[in-house]
Amino acid sequence: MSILINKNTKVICQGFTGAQGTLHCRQGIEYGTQIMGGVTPGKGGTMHLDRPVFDTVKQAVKSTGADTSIIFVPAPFCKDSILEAVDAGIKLIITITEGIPVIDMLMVKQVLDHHGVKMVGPNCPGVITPGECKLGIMPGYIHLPGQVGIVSRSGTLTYEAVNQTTALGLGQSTCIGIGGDPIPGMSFIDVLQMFENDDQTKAIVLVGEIGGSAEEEAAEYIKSHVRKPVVSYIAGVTAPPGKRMGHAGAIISGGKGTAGEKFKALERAGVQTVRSPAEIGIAVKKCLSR
Amino acid sequence: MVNGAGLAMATMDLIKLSGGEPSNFLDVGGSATKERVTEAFKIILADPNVKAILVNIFGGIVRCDLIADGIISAVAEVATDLPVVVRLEGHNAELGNQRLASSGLNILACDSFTKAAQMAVKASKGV
Repeated sequence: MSILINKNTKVICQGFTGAQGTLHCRQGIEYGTQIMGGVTPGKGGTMHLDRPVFDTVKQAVKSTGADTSIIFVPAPFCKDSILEAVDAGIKLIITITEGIPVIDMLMVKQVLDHHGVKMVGPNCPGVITPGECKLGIMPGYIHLPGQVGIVSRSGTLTYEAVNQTTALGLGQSTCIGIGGDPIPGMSFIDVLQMFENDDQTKAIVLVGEIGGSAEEEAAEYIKSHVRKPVVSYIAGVTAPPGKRMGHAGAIISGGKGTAGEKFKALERAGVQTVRSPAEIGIAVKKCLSR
Repeated sequence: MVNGAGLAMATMDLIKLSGGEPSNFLDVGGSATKERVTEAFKIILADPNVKAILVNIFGGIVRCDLIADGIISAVAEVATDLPVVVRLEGHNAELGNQRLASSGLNILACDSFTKAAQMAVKASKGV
């Protein structure tokens, strides 16, 4: 088994007819993802990528039976799109959009938790279960079905970890980019818990970065709850304090959230850390052959 | 020059690990077109501290051979004497590296993340 998504996952796309929605849904469909249709208010009743377009998520869910939604809606309207998906009974939301105001996420996170709806993102590459279902903007061909669960705050570093584990023939069970924003839907801990309980996943790669305390919290969780080997790399050793490093959440503020602290916390929890992003794959292989 | 915030930080870390000092980074974003790459080179070269340029691109959606073309024309246009090390990974990476190698310009193509950082550090020290 994989986690979150598989070949049976039925998906609708919010922001289906936009440039990004079109590009990545087309690639998803080519990959074999069951994209049932999409939502663009005002375009209901038309067809796009040979699939029906609906005005509302409620109509789309009713007509297609989808329980997962991928969102490409522009940031100013994204809060409403997420709330609409929750209201329509969607159980898993993947929000790719970058730039959602933190104040919007503050509210959204409460609603998601209250309704027991899972959300990956925002500001993330999405989720892929290799060979089964691709929901996001990642290049599908670098993935290989296999045994490593990958979770990361960064898109391109997820690809690095994927590429290295594919090159070594290990493959991936599921890869999840939780996003680079200060308030993500799902946290490292949420994903670690699922990987720990997933039979297909034999080892876990956790790619973190400076800012916040998500990695420290993950370390605490790993210490008491995760038996599978975990390999971790933290980006931003050289990041100067007080500078936002590309991601909204990647900032060392008040001396807190440095890569050094995060490495230490993970090492104390028994995690195999690597100082070079190019050594993730090799470290996983070592862990698995022990 | 990189595409992605995480890759930016990771690339700087690897430069440091290789004994160099990152001067700055520029994230060209998801769609690294020829125009964007050219503009990016101009911005980077405006910093007099820069002794070498490391381009680290993971071509996911974009094809690496197209990025290579962008880099070649950008380097030709800005006419820099500084060494440019390029690591392309992903879609059509091999073809991209071949184009860079046969461009006749001062571009060092490399297919490994670690080696590229080491090459850039070496180049920055004029070795």
